[in-house]
Parts: sequence; structure tokens; C-alpha cells
Amino acid sequence: MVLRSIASRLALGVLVGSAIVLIVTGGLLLSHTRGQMLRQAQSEAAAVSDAAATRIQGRIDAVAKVAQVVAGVLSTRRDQAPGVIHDILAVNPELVDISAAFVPRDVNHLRPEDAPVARRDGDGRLVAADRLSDPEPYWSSPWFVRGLNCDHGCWQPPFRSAAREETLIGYSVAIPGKDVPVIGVADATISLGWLQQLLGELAKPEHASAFVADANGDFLAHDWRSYIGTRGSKPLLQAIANKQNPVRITPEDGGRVSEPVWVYFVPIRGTRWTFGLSMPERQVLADLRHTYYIDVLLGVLALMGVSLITLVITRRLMAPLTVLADRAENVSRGDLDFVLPEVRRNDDVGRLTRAFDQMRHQLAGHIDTAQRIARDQARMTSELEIAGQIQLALIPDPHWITDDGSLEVHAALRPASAVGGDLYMYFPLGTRHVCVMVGDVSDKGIPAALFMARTITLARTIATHARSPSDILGTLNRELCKGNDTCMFVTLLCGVIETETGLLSLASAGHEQPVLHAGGSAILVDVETGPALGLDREAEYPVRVLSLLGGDTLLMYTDGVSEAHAGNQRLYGTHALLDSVGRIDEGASPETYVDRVLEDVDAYTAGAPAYDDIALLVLTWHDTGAEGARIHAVVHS
Amino acid sequence: MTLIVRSESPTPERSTVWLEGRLDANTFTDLDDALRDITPMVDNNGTLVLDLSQLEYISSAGLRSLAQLRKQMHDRGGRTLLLNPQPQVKKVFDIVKAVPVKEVFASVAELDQYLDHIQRTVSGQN
Repeated sequence: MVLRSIASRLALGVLVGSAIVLIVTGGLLLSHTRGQMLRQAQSEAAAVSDAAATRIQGRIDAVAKVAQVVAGVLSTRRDQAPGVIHDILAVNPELVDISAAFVPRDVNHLRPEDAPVARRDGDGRLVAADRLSDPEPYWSSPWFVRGLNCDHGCWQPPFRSAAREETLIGYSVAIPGKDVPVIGVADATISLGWLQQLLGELAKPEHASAFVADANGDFLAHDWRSYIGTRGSKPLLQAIANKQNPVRITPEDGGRVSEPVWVYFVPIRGTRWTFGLSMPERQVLADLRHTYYIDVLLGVLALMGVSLITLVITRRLMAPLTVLADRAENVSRGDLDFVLPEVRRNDDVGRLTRAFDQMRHQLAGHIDTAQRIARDQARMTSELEIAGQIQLALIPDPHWITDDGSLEVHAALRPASAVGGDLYMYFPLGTRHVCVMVGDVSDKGIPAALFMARTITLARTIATHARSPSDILGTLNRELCKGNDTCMFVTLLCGVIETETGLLSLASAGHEQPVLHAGGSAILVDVETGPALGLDREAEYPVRVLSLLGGDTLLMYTDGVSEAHAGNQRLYGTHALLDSVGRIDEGASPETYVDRVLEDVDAYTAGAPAYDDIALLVLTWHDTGAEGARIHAVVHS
Repeated sequence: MTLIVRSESPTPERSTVWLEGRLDANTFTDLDDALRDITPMVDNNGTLVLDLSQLEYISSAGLRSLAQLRKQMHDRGGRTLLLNPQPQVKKVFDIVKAVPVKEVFASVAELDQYLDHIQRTVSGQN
């Protein structure tokens, strides 16, 4: 998968992170820009509206001026009214008609001069007429009454002219008299067609529509012609009344619009008219949306560009790491012979590469060392095994019986490791004596094994010239003390048996007391001991003499038996040993004793590795002079 | 189990070392290492006292260490005295006799008495 590479994950991370930042800032920007666009549209609309209002104002000011001039002239020249209005109309082509209506002197005898009208017909020709033929008497009609009260002039409500099919609007000014305040009304009328045309000429923003409404809210002109003459919607009228500018009008509010629009308006001075500009909100914001989409598109492109650059840069930076990862797999397979990427920069990757290289070399060194150590250990183990065999060759066979069958010996030696410091020994001294020994060298392992070998060799040599265990131990002690700076020592129990009489002499050099199984019970033989061999040159070893009876059995052992234990268990102890020996049938062979004692010790330690070496020697005196003993001797030989 | 060896600041005449725990084939090197630093500070005719009241067990390897220590001190004219061994340790001493009985004391009083006696003997000779 692509995302397994750190580079692509980083690039994706940058892309996602930047996209989130872009969306958030974009949203804020949109909101900010929206407000700004609306304000901008508002100021633009206000400018257009002001300009339009000013133009309209200029136009109607001219009309008002004409009406005021007419009123001023006619105040003293009532009789010349038809001629005056005709001439003035002739020089003011924008006007549709000019009328002068005087308060009638005699209602019953009206004259055309009382209300002359100069009109411009469809072809542009001027026609002189009067208002006497109006359906309603002019002096009582609303516009006349309103005009009389308008000293400085005022706009009449617009009306529809059937003859011209146009909406017209008149400006009336009261004609002052010499004796009375007013004598009549001068009225100049224009067509609202110019207003409509003016709306069309305005430089409006696209999609905007303009309108002019009068004081009642009726549209005098509107870009949507069907609206002309109709009344503005309620929300629009309310907004105009409240001068709430601009105002947002929606179909839901009751506006006569199909979508939300913004309406900007300005009152036209000198009139009670209002100029307005209506713009659909969608259009106002259309540019914004457009800009926003482009921005977002550019942003996305920028993000993809940044991600791509991130991807490329990271890939280039991480390329050595990929190689290192592969090489690490090589290392885990044990292959250390490979090429590492060249270190170009001293950055993290460079340091890692160098460290990796060093690690490889050190690892190779360690592996070499470990292999050498393993070889050395194997050699050591093998040498120890050989040493163990040589050590075993130093001691005699486990089983021995004298030629005359009077004495049978069985022994066992179990070193705790390959070699050990325990020993047993037996050999004839001359023809009538047999020497037996069990010893335990202090400490364990190779030093103990060498000391044991020395002891056995010396003991053999010395014993040939001695007859008493005391002599043997004394001489052996002196020999072992020589050059014994390490203070190795050996405890030794030495016995000499006279094979004809069963007389047993025992001497102990700091050794465990032997067990005698005689008459059905097992007891410890109390032998006074001298110091262990190898420590004190002056030491002496007293002798204890026992007289063995036929079938009596003596056990000599090392502390590997009496101090056997497993873990934090209590020591096996001499009591357990006495029990174990006591349970053995009288007359059993020495081999049985050895086997049973070792079995019991093994059962006690429950298979735990031996803590100490074990040496065990059992001798049975078969009294050849007694009938029973002779039978046993035959059985065992 | 381990062996802890503590010593008071030794003086040339007499220095005491306390042993605590087991002194066997696994720990005798600890004793050897510790005493290698301590024994040189004891005077040639000085006395090194090993307080064994906290020693729970001693094996033949430990006995060898003590014997070696005793030999080293002896070669320099000094003495190694053992103080207050627990019964099981005392028993080992009795059996193996790796240490002469006269160099083992049951109490400080006994030890002091012995040392007084030695000093008197030496002064008497002088």
C-alpha cells in the first residue's frame, strides 16, 4: 500500500492539514467578503441613485421654473394668457401642455380666456384650446383647488392621458393678483415618458432595476413597465417610510419579487418622490461566489503542489532510511555484508547511517567473540569431561572383594559437576590388611579435583609403608601441607582392617563420623578427629579400634550425603541417614546399602541438581570363621 | 543467600570484621575481596578478629578462606581470632579443625582475657 511509506503519509498529512486550514480561513474570508460585497454594492447603488435623483430633479426643476414664470407673467396680463402660454410652450419642447386657469369672474358667463390651454399634439404641432369643455368644472376640480393653495408651486398627482396614451404629471403654481392673493393657477405638464427613458439610460449595475415612486408609493416609472402605475409592496413602502436604507426584501416578507432582493433608495428633493434601485441578492453575490470558487480552486491546486513537493522532498530525504530498513532486515537474518547508503549530509539520517555502520561492525565483532567463546566453552566442556574420566580412573572399581572373601567393598562417587573433590579409596596393605578411605576436598570444581588427585596419589604411596591409619594420615598431612599456600584441605576418614580378625582401626582428619550397621541397628561411630589434612603440619590423628563381627557393615560417606538438600529445604542430616541404614535388612550386600542410601538421598532432594559431590563407601566384614557368614560370602562372591 | 562483610575502621593493633549470612563456595570470594583491603591495615603483629555471631552457615570452601586468611596473618606474625560462632558453625570448626580451638572465643570478654594474657606473656618475656 502507498501509505506504508512515511513520505506519502507526511504528504497526505500536509494535504489534509492544509485543506482544513484552507476551509476554515476560506469560510471566514467568504463571510468577510460577503459583507464587503454587500457594502460595495450598496455604495455603488447609492451613487447611481444619487446621480439619477439629481438628473430627475434638474428636469422637473425646469418644469417648475416654467410654471412659475407663467404664473408671474399672467399675474398682470390675464387677458393675454392664451398668447403667453402658446409662446412659452413653443420654446419649451419638453412640455406637453401649459394651461392657465383663472378664478371665473362670472360662473354663468365663462369665457375661453378664463382657462386657456396650449397643447402639443402627437405630431408636435401646437394647439390652442381651453378647459371649459372639461367633464368636471375646472374651478372646482381638485387639481385647481390644490394649485390655488400652492404659492410656490407643487406637483399634482400623475394622471393618465387618454388622448396621448401617456402618464402625465403637472406642476401647478398659484397666480398672484394685485388686489387678491390669488387669481388663478398656472400649470405646466410633462409626460413621464422621459422619466422612464431616463431610467433606461442610467449606468446601473447589471441585473439592477430602477424605479421612481411618488408619495403614495405608486410607481411613476419602473424598469419593469408592467409595474408602472401600480403601488409598491408593503415592505418596500414601510422601508421608505422608515428610511431603512438599504432594505432586503424577500417573497416571504410579502414583496412582489421572486427571490430576495436588495433595494437602495433616495428621496428626490423638491418632490415627494423616491428613486429606488432593486438588485437580486443572488446577482450581488454572484461575483463573490465566482471569485470564491476560483480562490478555492487555486487553493486546492496550491495544496496539491505543496503536497507533491513535500512528497518529493521527504522521499529524497527518507530514501537512505528505506535502504537502512532493508539492511536492518539483513542484520536480523545474520547477513552483515552489505553496502550502506553514502552519507552526504551530517543530518539525522547521516548520523543514523554512520551509527548503523558502526553497529554492524561491532555486531560482527561480538558475533566473532561469541563464536570464539562458544568454541572455547565447548573445548572446556570436552576437556572437563576428559578430566572427569581421568579422575574416575584414579579411583578403583566400585566393587571389590578380597581373595579370601572376608571383606567386601562397594563404593560410589558422584561429582556434582564434571569433576569433583570427593574421593574414595581401597587397597590391600600387604597380605593381611586392607586400607579404605573416604575424603572430601574443601571447595569444588577443578582446584578440588586436582587436590583430590594429589591426595589419592600421595595416599597410595604413603600407605604402602604404613600399617596404622594414624601414621597414614600424619604423613599424608605433612605432605599436603607442603606448598599449600591456597590452604586447600581435605577431610579424610581412613580405616585399616585386619582381614583375618576383623579388627578395624579408624582415624579421622576432620571427617564425618562413619555409620556402623551391626546387630540390627545403625549407630554413628564416635571417632575423635584431628585437623583436616593440609592445614597444620603438627597435627596428630588418634586411632579408634573396633572389632567387627560377621555381617557388620560400615558406611563411610562425605557431606554430600549428610548435607543433601533441595532449595531452602533442611539438610538431610545424619539422623535420616541412620534411619535409612537401619531399615536395610541385615546381611544385605554392600551394593544394596549404596543403592538404598543414594535412592533415599535422591528421593529427599526430589531430583534437584546435586549441591555437593557425593562419595560413599560401604564395607561388610564376612566372618569366614562363622557358618552363616561363609554362606553369605558365597552368595556375594 | 549472600554474605555481608562489615568492618570497623581498623587500627594497626586490632581490627574487627563482622560476617553475616552464608560463607560458602558462592560467597567466599566476597570475603577474600573484602579482607584483601582490610588485612594490609593491620600491623604485622596485630590481631584480626572475625565476629561470626551473624554467620549462619560455613562450608568447606569458607573454611579454606578462613584458613588461608589465618595463614596470611600468621606469616606476618599476626593472629586471626574467631569470635562467637553459632553452634552449627562451631560444630564445623570442631569436626574439621581447620581452625585451632584456642583461636575460637565464645565472647568478647573471653577474647579480651586471652589478648591480655598474650600481652602479659610478651611483656614478661621482655
